Amino acid sequence: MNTTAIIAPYELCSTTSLQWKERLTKELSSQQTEVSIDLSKTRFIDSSGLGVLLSLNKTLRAQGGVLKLLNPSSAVAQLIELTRLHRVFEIVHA
Amino acid sequence: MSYASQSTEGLHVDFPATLESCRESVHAITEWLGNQGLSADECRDWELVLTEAATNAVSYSNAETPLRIEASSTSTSIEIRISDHSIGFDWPEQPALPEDDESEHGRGLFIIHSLTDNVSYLRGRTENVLCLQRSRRVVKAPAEDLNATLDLMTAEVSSCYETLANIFRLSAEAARDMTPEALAANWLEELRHISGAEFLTLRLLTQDGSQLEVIATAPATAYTAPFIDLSSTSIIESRAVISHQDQWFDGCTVFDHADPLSYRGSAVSGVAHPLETGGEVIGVLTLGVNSPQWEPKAREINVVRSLGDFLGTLLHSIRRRDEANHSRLIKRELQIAADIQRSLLPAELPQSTTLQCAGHLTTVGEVGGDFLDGITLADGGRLFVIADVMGKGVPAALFATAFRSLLHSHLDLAAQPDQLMQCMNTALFAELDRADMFITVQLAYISADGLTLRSCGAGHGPMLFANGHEVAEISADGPPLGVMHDADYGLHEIGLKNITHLLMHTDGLSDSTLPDGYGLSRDMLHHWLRATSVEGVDAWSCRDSLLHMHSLHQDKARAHDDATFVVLVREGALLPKPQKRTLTHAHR
Repeated sequence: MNTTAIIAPYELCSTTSLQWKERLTKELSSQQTEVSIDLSKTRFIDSSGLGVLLSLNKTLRAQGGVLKLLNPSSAVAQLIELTRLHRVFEIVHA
Repeated sequence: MSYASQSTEGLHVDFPATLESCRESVHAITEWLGNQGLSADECRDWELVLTEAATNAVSYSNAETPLRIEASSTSTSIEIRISDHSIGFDWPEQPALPEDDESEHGRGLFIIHSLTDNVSYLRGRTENVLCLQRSRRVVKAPAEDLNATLDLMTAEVSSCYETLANIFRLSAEAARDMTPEALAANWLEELRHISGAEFLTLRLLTQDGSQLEVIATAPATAYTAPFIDLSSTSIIESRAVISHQDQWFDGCTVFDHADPLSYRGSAVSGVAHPLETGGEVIGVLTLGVNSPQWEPKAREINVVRSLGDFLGTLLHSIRRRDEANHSRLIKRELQIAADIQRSLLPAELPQSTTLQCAGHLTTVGEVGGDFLDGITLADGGRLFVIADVMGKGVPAALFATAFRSLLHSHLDLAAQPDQLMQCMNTALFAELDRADMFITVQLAYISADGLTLRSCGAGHGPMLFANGHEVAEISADGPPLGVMHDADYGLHEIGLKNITHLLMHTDGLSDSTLPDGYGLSRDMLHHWLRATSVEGVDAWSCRDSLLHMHSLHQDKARAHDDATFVVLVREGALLPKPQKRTLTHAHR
């Protein structure tokens, strides 16, 4: 399996998400089958940050891949649960 | 650039409508809230609420028009107002999450609503004001925080341990002689206890992958549709399998009338979780409660997902193992049937100084429906029989066996093949008719002096005979056995004085699997028989050359019928010394 690990920014919000999304688009090839986003360093995330993760999840699944969210901080994990996205994302606590 | 000023009511920040300024302003307000004694969690919630609200206001505003955030604090609550000069929008009465779980937008207003106590949006001609209010949280003593954290961690560790212990127990149960259904039923009860769900259903894909078949339910007595068609994506469980994604449902979900979840009434909520192994979906686990809302903890859902996936993989493996065992058993039974069938064939075909004979039987698969026999009769004559039971496999072989027994018990009629055929049809009709099968037969009686042939055909292909110059045919004299109860069969009597070679065969010999023009045609058989007659070829060489010719005109990979024939050569032909191996048998 073609696996890539990426560390998410310290703040993943409206001012940073667009730029980060563009960076991901450049870095990830269409052959990527598993991408792990390390959220342990991410202190803050808002709905636009979640939107980027959802977009990435959709893209990967369309090419037969999978997105994993690694070690989200409690703040990030709570927002994911609040917005019920734990139904969508595969969350891994390592 | 944003700027802040302290006021007696609290703090206000004016900033241009850009995302960067908006972020700086939210930081400034959040920092001020921290200074007002709010906990880190409260500040983090306000930071999120303000980011969502202010970003929204910026997106509707021109960069030139300033925005303002005003914050005020009391001993019991925090109130924040965000003003903008955009055209504004209609604030929904009850903001909700997007219907599509995977939508990339549409969560901001829901987050604001969820993290505040009161929200009001005043939309004016020149200004819009969003008022947000939330009570201060009671600050817990640090010791209590530590205990809560420890409790949380203990719960996490316990849940991981519980999952692992359950997986070990599940593996141990699977190793015992337990049916997949019983194993699944036991474990659905376990999962019901773990998840707090009120009902669970486990379905696995059928072997052809077109349907989902129910394996177990909890409670075990709960009724659900035994099969779900996978072609319909309007059914929640089918959609989970097709999309490889969890499908949540609740009191607002409109179920398709064919959806088994609709049988439970509208007040159900839960999730259909696809079960995967090696990247391939093998089934679906559905669990839920009989109420319009269900909010299981992420931890509970993770445990159910992990155990559900493991249970699905286990059941899938058990099913595959059972199918492999069944397949081995069937193969063994077919081998036994083939051995029995082979034992019914004559070891050698009868030879004499006036008549040579050689035959061959090829069966497709382990057992087939072709039959041949050569019998020396009490009057010195010989009876040659060739038959083809419709179809292949065990049923065809069983009828071939019954046919052989019946034939040998009526050899007193052998010199009158038409009467023998009629007798066989009467005896076998009921059984063949019930099984919707039939048998084509060619009977050929040759008198002891070798000069007379009496033949009778029942729906069989023509018998060919050659006299050194030309080839003639004797066609069938009645329908196959098993078609008409009171069928009449005619008799052909031919003098063999000038005949050198005769060929009896099943249609498998000339039914080629190659394209037109490449197969062993009837004309080719005529040509071959004429040539062997002219050259005076002996019966065994005839058999070998016909077998070779048949193999050249047969696509073995696609061969679909048995191929059987008998060659008879009279004394008019060149007669070498009789040989052994007058009958050969092969199977593909």
